[in-house]
Amino acid sequence: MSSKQLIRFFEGMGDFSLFFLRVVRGVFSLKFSWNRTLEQMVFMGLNSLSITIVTAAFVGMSFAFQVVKEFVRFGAAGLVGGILALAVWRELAPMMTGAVVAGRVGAAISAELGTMKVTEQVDALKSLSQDVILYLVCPRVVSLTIMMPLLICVADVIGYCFGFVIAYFFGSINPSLFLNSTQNLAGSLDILGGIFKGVFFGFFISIISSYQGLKTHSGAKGVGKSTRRAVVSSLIIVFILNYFLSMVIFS
Amino acid sequence: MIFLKNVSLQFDQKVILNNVDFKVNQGDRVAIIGESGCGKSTLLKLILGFLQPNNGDVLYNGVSISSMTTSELRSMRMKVGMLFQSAALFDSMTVGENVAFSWCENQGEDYDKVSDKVNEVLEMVDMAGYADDMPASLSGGQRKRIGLARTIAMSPDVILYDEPTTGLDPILSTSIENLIVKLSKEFGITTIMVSHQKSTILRTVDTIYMMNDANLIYAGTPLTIEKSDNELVRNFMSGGL
Ligand SMILES: Nc1ncnc2c1ncn2[C@@H]1O[C@H](COP(=O)(O)OP(=O)(O)OP(=O)(O)O)[C@@H](O)[C@H]1O
Ligand SMILES: [Mg+2]
Repeated sequence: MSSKQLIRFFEGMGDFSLFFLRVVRGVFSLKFSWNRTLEQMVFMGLNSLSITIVTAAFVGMSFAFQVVKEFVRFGAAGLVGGILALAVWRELAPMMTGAVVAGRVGAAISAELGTMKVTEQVDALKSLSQDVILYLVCPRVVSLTIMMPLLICVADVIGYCFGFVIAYFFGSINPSLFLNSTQNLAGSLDILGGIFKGVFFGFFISIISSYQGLKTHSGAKGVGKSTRRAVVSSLIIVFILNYFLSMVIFS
Repeated sequence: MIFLKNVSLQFDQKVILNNVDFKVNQGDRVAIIGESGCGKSTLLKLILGFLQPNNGDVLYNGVSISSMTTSELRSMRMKVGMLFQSAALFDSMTVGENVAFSWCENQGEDYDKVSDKVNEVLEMVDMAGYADDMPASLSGGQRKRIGLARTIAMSPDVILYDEPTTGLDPILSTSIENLIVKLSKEFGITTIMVSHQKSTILRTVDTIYMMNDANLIYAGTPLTIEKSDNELVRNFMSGGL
C-alpha cells in the first residue's frame, strides 16, 4: 500500500466517522419524519421477507441434515433439537439474515441514494432547505435497525421448524424428544441474544449503504460502483460484528 | 446581497474559478454566459453552499456562507431558490408533490390542503393539469417548468436559474421569460441566470457577465453587448449563443 493510498484510507475513515456522528445525532434528535420511516419499514420488510424465509428454511434444513446424520450414528439423537436451536438462534439465523439483507436492502439504499445524488436530487433537496441526513438517512437507518431484529425472529422460527421437519423425516427423531432437548439446551437468552445482534446489523448496514450512496459521483457507472462497495462492506461488517457480538453475548 | 470575494475553486488539478469577484444587489437581474464546461453551474452551486471555495469567501447579506451553522444555512436556502440545469425533480414523487415540497416539508402543511395553490403555480408555468403525473413521464422542457414551479413555490428572494429555457419551444420560452421578468418586477426577486439562449438573455436581464479563463468579466447590457469592445464577447454573441 503506497503512502497516498494510506492517506486516502484514513481520510475515508475520518469522513465516514463524521457522517456516522451526524447520523447518530440526527437519530437522537428525533427530528426526522416517522411517516417516511414507516414507509421505509414496510418497503424493507416486504422486500426482504421472502428471501429471508427461503434462506432460513434451507439453512435450517441443511444444518439439521448434517447433525442428524452424525448424531444418530453416535447415539446422540437426544441432542439434535438443542443443537439445532442453539446453532440457528445464536448464529445461523442472525448471520444469514444479516448477509441477505446486506445484499438486498443495502444495495437498494445505496442505489437509490446514489441515483438521487448523480441526478442532482440530493442538491435539490438541500436547495429546498432540507437536511439530507434527517430527510434521507435517518428514516432508513431507524427503519432497518427496527426491521432487522424482526426479520431475524422470522428466520429463527422458519429455520428451527424446517430443521425439525428434516430431523423427523430423515432421522426419525421423536418430536417430544426434539422439543425436550431444545428446552434443556437452549434458553431465552439464545433467542434474544441472536435477535439483539440484528439491531447492530441493521444500523451498520443502513449507515454504510447510505454513506456509499451519498458519496456517489460520475453517473450511472458511479451508482454501480457505490452499490458494490455498499454491499461488500456491509457483508464484511455483518460477519465481523457477528463474531464479536457472539463473544460478548454468549460467553 | 450576494458577494463572491476573491473566490477560487479547483476540482483536483483543474482550475474552475480563479480569484473571482462578483457582486449582485437586491433586485438585480444578471446573466452569466460562457462556453460549455467553464464552470457556470459550479458557480451557482457555490452560492448555495453545496461547494466550498478553495480560497476566498461567498457572502450572503454580508454573512460568509462557510461560517454558517446548519440551521443558518437552511434558512439562507429558504431565501435562495435554484432551478437546476437538469430540473432535478424528485422522481419518487408526483409533479404536484414536487411543487408542494417546500410547503409540506418546511411548513408542515398537508398535501391535500395545498392542491389549489399547487394548481395556481402549475398554471404560471403552463403545466396545469399535470399534478398527478410522475416526473418520469414528462419531457425535458416540461420537467424544467415543474422545476421552476417548485422553486417559485418557495417564494424566495433570489432565484438562480440554470438554463431556464433550454429545451423549450420559442413560444414557451417567451412565456417563461415573461414569468422571470414578472417575478423580478412584481416581487423584487433577484435573478441570477446562466443561459446559452441569446433571446432569453436579451429579454430578461440588465447586466451580462462572461466567464472566461476561470474569471468573470463584465460583458455589457442587452443593448451594448453586441457592440462590446471585447472581441471574445462579440464572438460569443454572434456565434449564435
Ligand atoms: N463534482 C465535480 N467534481 C469534479 N469535476 C467537476 C465537478 N462538477 C463539475 N466538474 C467539472 O467542472 C467543470 C465545470 O462544470 P459546470 O457544470 O459548472 O460547467 P457549465 O459551465 O455549467 O457547463 P454547461 O454550460 O455545459 O452546463 C466541468 O469541466 C466539469 O467536468
Ligand atoms: Mg451548467
